[in-house]
Amino acid sequence: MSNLETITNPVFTAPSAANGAVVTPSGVAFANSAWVEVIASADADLLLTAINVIAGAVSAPFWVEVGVGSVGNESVIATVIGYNQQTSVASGPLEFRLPLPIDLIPNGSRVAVRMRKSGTSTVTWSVSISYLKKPITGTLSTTTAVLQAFPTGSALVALPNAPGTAWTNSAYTQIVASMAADSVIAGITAYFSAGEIECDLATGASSSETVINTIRLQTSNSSSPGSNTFMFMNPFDGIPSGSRFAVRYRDSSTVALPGAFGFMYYENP
Amino acid sequence: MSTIVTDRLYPIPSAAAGVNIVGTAGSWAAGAWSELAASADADWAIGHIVVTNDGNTWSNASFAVEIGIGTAGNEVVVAEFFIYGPNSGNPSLRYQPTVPLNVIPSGSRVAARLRNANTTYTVALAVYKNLTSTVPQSDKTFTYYPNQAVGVPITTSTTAWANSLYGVITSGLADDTVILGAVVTDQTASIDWELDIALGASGSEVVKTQIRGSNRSNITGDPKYYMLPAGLSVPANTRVATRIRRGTTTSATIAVSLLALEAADAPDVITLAASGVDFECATLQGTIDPNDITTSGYFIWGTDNPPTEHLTTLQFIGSGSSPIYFSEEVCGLDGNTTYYYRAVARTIDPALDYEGNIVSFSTSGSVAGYVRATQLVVEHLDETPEPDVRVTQLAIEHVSEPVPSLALVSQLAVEYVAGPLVETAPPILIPVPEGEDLCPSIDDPILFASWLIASGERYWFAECPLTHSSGYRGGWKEERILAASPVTRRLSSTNWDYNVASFSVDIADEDWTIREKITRSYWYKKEVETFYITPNTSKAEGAPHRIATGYITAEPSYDDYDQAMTVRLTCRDRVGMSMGWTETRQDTVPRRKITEVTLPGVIFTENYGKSAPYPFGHLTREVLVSGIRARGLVKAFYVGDRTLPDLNSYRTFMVAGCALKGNYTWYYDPAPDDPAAAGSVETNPSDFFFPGTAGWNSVFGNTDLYEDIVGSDGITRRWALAYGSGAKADLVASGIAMLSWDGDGIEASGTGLGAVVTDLHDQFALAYENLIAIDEGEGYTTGDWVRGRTFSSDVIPIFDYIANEQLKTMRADELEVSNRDEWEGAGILGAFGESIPVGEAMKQFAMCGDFRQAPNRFWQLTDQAINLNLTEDDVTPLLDKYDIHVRTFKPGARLDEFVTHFTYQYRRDYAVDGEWIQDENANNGVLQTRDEVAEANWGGERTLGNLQFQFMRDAVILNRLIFVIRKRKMNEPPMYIDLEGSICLTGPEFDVGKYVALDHWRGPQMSGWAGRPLWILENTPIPETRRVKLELLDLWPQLDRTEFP
Repeated sequence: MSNLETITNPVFTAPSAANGAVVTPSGVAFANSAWVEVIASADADLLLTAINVIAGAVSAPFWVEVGVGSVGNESVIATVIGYNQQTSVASGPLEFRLPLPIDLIPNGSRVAVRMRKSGTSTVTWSVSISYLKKPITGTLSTTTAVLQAFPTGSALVALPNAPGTAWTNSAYTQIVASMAADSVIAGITAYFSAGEIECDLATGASSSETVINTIRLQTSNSSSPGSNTFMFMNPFDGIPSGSRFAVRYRDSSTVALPGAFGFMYYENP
Repeated sequence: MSTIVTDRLYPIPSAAAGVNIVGTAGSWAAGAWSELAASADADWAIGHIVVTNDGNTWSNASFAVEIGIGTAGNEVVVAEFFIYGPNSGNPSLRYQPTVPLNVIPSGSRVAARLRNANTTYTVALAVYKNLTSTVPQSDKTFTYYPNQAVGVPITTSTTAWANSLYGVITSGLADDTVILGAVVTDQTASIDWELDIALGASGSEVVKTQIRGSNRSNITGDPKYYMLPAGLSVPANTRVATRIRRGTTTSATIAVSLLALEAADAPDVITLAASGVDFECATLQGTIDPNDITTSGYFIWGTDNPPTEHLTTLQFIGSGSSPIYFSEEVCGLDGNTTYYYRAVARTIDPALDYEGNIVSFSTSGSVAGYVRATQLVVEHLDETPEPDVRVTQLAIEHVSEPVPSLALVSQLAVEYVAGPLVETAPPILIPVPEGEDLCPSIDDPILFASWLIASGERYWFAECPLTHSSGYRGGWKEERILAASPVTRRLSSTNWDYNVASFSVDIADEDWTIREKITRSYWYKKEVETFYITPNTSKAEGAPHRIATGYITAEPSYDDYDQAMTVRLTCRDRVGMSMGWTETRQDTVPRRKITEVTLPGVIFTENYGKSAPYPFGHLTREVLVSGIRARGLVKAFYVGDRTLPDLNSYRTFMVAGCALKGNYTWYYDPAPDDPAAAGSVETNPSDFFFPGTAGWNSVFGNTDLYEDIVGSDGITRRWALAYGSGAKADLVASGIAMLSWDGDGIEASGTGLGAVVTDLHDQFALAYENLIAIDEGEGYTTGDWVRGRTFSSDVIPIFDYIANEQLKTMRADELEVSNRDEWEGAGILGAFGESIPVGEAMKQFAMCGDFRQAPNRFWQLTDQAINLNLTEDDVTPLLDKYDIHVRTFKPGARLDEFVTHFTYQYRRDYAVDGEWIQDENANNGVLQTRDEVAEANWGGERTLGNLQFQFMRDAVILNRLIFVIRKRKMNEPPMYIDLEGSICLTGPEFDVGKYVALDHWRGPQMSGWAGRPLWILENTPIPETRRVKLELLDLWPQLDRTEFP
């Protein structure tokens, strides 16, 4: 069976035929930058499909948000979390292709972006967005749920050192004590030091975790910020409301190095 | 269909390093296969792959990893991953197609190999096992273009954001293809770029979509593939090219490869030439080879090219592998016109249309001639010469040359009106075009004299009443005699006798012999009396003539039923040389009479006036027996004039030309609250009550007031006059004129045997099919009489269908077991000869059949109508009706055939305490089982905002047949939503282009609001080309699915 979703709508970007919007980070760690407008007034109902980031030359976890609304009244419709390790030059691309286009940009809306990160560097970043214009002709799954990130504005959740024995599980690390809502995981941003990695996503009380999914990942690379982020083409619906969410990992390395973890999700009430 | 999965991924191999794949020398040469799995333990769908270089620096070159299935030496490639190895670093490369690649059947040996890299890498997969989520997926080979080659180099412009030249990815793909994304291998400094993907010949490229990215100083980490939000369909043999623009003046060469899947298997559709083309009809033909896909077919046709105007009904084709012929006759075409059409195949899952080639045909000449009567034998019924004749023989032929209107046939019609409606034996057959409604609306009567018949003499004979246009024109010069009015005058308010008042006649230019004749007729007597008031009088040309005043005596009447008396003055040439009598003026007593008999049998007078003291009109007996086959023909009407204060009791009445058998009640309002106010609302509906009793027309139990008629089909039907009364304004404005009728199939005097079951059908059939209301426009608010018509819009039939089970219980003692079987569906003989189960009959009513709705009114069924035990099987035969039924995946029964866009959301249920139902009842995301009490306590409603429908074609929405994804979780399958009420949306004439808005709905497992109707605001029959949009306006983010076939 092949039942691909196909559309005839072209993808648009904003800014269009221009460099991404320059975003100057706050000099305060994890504080939001100012909003930077990318669309003054949407000429149709828009579907946000991707967020494209060129990171400043700074090693930091970062959050980029897309907001809709007039100046001072921006409402966040998507937050992506990444982890940039490239410190020598601005690095990219960091294309956060949203697994479900977000249908929260009404015709006439102003669209802006902002970011926050660890550290106090104010080296500028660059952000652009990709979008579709409604009405859609074809078949396309979309959502009106806001894309959220965890953690929301602090360091990634630290993972313990790898056991130092190849393909031996690490201990579980609690990511969220109790999910606020049924959640659909859209992607993860994780840092792993070496080797081939399998990362187990699990729910359940401590010592009673049940693996709900396993992601095959790769070694993080300081010059490859994209290697830290894994956006699901098919987001995974598996974390019920109230669940404790934990992860563990194993890798092919015999070196005991720590990891870090964050994730993006849609709430599914 | 969502892209969300609940299935987890499994690494292959698991908890182990990837499998080595060893390349070989040679450009794009493939290395040996390395086994990934000896035997897949389930159907595997590839989610993504991870390729590593074992800690070594990558090759800074393109290569491919291929996944194959099959025994050693017999591997078949099922996925090809184009990868650009970075120029530094040693991370693993992760690669994720847009959709799961469901290409590895259970039990398959799975292997991988390396192409275009003479080295060793390792590969691992992440797979879904027995993928259960309803997500887009593919069983086609994932591949890349140009295949087995590096990406197409594109040299960017030295002008910032100026387009590069196009780089040709392919001059034409072999098969229909869906492009999913691209691999872009820019290695220069971090600069934003945009990549256009275009289709078309060189110099005529059309940009179809765009990818935004930014290049990087070094390609490390993942291969930079960019997946589109949804696929881009590319027909076979289409040239595909890309171009890039960047935010720099530095030119660079960037390699681009496109990632793609072969398009899904498709039925083969061929449109064949039309057959049977004449001036108004043609048979569209085509073949569909389903190619093993369950497929239906239909035609799109119209005068536009490509055609878009009309769709034929879906026909189930099947799922075979050979061409299946199908056809559809379309009629109502314009003559001398070129039409275009194409056959279309529609697959069921997924619901996709595959269009065939376009074929045209031209109808023949629009006016090939007229019908003309060639033989006419009449028998005079009265003294000679008289206009009243009986037609005993009539022959009609096709005339090749157009002739003026008012041919012989219409004269005949005049005679019928002038005199008694004498039945012919057999009835006169009037040709109408095949496919035409035998009895079109009263606004569109067939004028036989000018009816067009195509060459070939294609007739369709209907038994219909004759019509007439205007006065008899026997060749006389009417203008010579000018009559003044009034002709008659009632003697007194208590005396129904009439004076024949003064009547002036001006003789224009000739001498005349004038003979005054008065003709009167009575609706209930079937006779005409003709007599003369004065002896013949010769009158010189130009001299005035005054008829002496006389009087005629009216027959004792039945209450207010008029006598339909016609007074006619006829004259004859003094010398008797001319052809007959000429009607100079026709007048009636100041009541309504029938002067026009128009299809489909609704009889109404034209010559009443609002100034008339008693503007009543009544259905005359002649009409009822005039040979109309009265299925769906006889209509109800009411008239009234609020300016007549002395007619409170009879200003409004309705006529149902059917026998109301069963318990029925007419409601009326003897004391309307505010009949004069426009839009007034009756505040005391209980005023409207006119109780009836069980049995045949007990209100009009007098046998003089109904008649059993044996139709040509041998079925006896009872026709009767029923009426309700009340103030029209109030009834109409409040929408409260009701006929409440208990169609429970239980006959108080019934025998309890099978006949009772048939009675039930009769009740439904007769009442339903025949009840159409006609009013007199909006005059009740303005005082102006503007003749109009209103179908059921001004009458709200509320059929209190009783649920199957309830009825069975009620009838348990009445029905014998065998007859219960009939009820269950073994089939009964319907009133019109159909063999139809009672349940089926009820279902058809629920579907509204051909019932038409006008805007701003609604057709309401109580929730009991939902309990018809409709099953999927029930729906299958209704495909031609475009039933909405998404769950069956049966041909033509999918919601998305209608609904092209719908969003839906929940909001809080504030019915109880404003708490989230879900929150209170969820436990780890699992909705708790709740008993009815708990359900009631919690309300459980999901209140939705307005729903908006836009239909693509005529549609009937059935209860329980609209499915909406009621989402507790994003991945949950669609669930039923019961609509409290049925929406009759038929009739292409109602092209109002508005929304149908439903202000709330109810879903399963929900309490409260029981019996509360689904209000349909601006109930809009949906014409073709409209689309359906179900939209919840209230906000709470939820998954949204958008479909546009």
